[in-house]
Amino acid sequence: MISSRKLALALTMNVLILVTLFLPCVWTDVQFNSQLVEPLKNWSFEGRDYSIPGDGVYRCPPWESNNNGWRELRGDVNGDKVVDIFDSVMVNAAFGSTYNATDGMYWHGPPDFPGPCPYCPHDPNTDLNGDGTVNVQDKVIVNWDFGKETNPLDGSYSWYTNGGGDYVMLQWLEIDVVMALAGEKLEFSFWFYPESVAPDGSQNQARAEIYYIYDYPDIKDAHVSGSWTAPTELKWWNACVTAILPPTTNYIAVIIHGKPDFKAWVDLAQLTTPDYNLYYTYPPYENQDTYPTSGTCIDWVNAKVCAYGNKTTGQASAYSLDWSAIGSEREAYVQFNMNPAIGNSPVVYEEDDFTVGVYWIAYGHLGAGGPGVPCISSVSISLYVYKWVYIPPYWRWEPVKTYTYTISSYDHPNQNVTILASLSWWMHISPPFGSGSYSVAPKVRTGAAGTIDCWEEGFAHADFFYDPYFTLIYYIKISD
Amino acid sequence: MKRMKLWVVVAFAVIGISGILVAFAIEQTKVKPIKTSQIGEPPQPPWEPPENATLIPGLSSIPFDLSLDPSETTVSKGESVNITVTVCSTEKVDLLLVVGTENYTAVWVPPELRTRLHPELPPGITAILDRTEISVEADMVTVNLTLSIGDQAESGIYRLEISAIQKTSHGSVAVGLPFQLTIP
Repeated sequence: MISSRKLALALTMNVLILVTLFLPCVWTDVQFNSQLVEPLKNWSFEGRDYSIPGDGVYRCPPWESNNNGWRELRGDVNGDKVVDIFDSVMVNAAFGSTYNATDGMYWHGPPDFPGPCPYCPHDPNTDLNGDGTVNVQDKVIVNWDFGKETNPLDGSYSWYTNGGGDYVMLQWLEIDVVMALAGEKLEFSFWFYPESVAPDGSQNQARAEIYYIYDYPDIKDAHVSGSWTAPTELKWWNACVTAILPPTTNYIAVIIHGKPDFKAWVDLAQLTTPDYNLYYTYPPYENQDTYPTSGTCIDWVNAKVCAYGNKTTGQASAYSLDWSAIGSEREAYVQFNMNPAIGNSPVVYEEDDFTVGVYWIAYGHLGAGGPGVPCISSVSISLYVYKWVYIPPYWRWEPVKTYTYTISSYDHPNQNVTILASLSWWMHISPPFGSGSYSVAPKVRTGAAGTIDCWEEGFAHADFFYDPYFTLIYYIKISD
Repeated sequence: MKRMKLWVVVAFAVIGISGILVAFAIEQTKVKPIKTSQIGEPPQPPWEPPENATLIPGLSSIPFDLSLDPSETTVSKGESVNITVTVCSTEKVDLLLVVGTENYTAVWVPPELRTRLHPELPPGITAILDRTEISVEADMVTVNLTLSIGDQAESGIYRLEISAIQKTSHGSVAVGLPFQLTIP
């Protein structure tokens, strides 16, 4: 008969194994793949600023605040969510040590220690106020918080707002992130745990906001605010806001806004783009597979022309419809900016010359047309070449050349066609383009155009399918 | 002895159960790519081409190229500016020159529709080419482009595109260059 002690031991081992293995399954908020740009810095409020002597614990860069606050718990040196004897021991051991810029650690030195102390180097977190020296002020912080616990939503710390007047905490996004997000739908959210609540939710209200500047140098701006979140019980509350940014957005700030005397712990600020989740450090805007997902119609005098695109199926259609008056004429088209492969736009650096090219396969039908017929339909593939240039106030991708290959009903009236477009051109980057970094992006366009006469002879229409994820490849080849 | 056997059986059972749980746990803990499941669309079989479709081949090269002088300029309202468009080619080509906006896609339009289907420029901006149809034969040809800014034009930065379009046997091919116009 097995002893109950051994059975208990075996069961304990099993539990330990399970706990160890399942720990990584605990939900964590990883905002973006590590290969990609992290759009929001210090989103879990773990970092603080060591560069501001005596004030580091009150800074959580790149967040800026108009009204103080600090990273909670201030005295929690080891980040175990409680200030206890271990934190006190660490500060005591580091007492008197100073910041060493070479390794970023804290070291004791002469005259206290002729050589390194046995416990050197010390954790930079022991310098709680970030003044470059572990001294009595740090011990005071530990003593002040001793015995306190906190409950961050993510990581070891949260941000405590400390009340006062109207509370604003904001972060400007980096310029490459702004470029990636321009033209996108953006959602910003954060969580907060109120220090106290009123039954009617009137205490410690907060909301998320997005501020952006666009159309430089005209400096137009917009401020989008979410609803005030009114907490009615002590728990973590979420505030969020959504904005659709114009393609010409130049600056973006995300804002945590608390009503006057906002006392709460803030954590887990998130930035997501619901419609577009993958972007790169420096993508040309044209390189984003952003539109269209639905059609548009254009009214022109008494005529109507419509264009439809379906990103999912890779279908693009354009029709001339409802012609009802002589003299009505118009064209309609639908365009796809394509990023067909899961990979970055190719970029070439500082080369003498290089080749750009595209392979594309499309199947479709071109409507009535031909010489002498006043209506035409077409499908085309364009390849945009960009250069990375500095146009004050920031660096950006600027188009320098466009290549377009078009098939139209003028040559293939009322025909089914299969297009095998394999195009490549040498780019010579001697003046006017000059050396630098170059990238490419393709665009597919289907259009129809005509006059009233088209109605009598049949629709001017183009209807095309292509597989945007497999049949279009664009490239830059560096010269040998 | 009996107790020993029982201990061995229990040990094997514990190891076996642990093994199953470990395998399950490892499967669960595999890092799943964040967001990547939302990138693009799931792979789909390629579309079947229409029956009796005409196969249109691609182009192996484009024989012509163009340049602008200047490639950007500032023009006040009520004034105009001349831009030199230089087109060069390694073989004989007949080209159509078109001035459009940044979003315009240079598409060859038959002559009978050309006067009615033309790219629109922003209000107040007029572009006049001294020739819209040129023939280049293994040399270079210059064409003057006059940009006139009317009083009704709004101040700002405009991005235009000057394109040269060649008609080919299957369709057309175009090369476009951006031109930045600033109206103070």
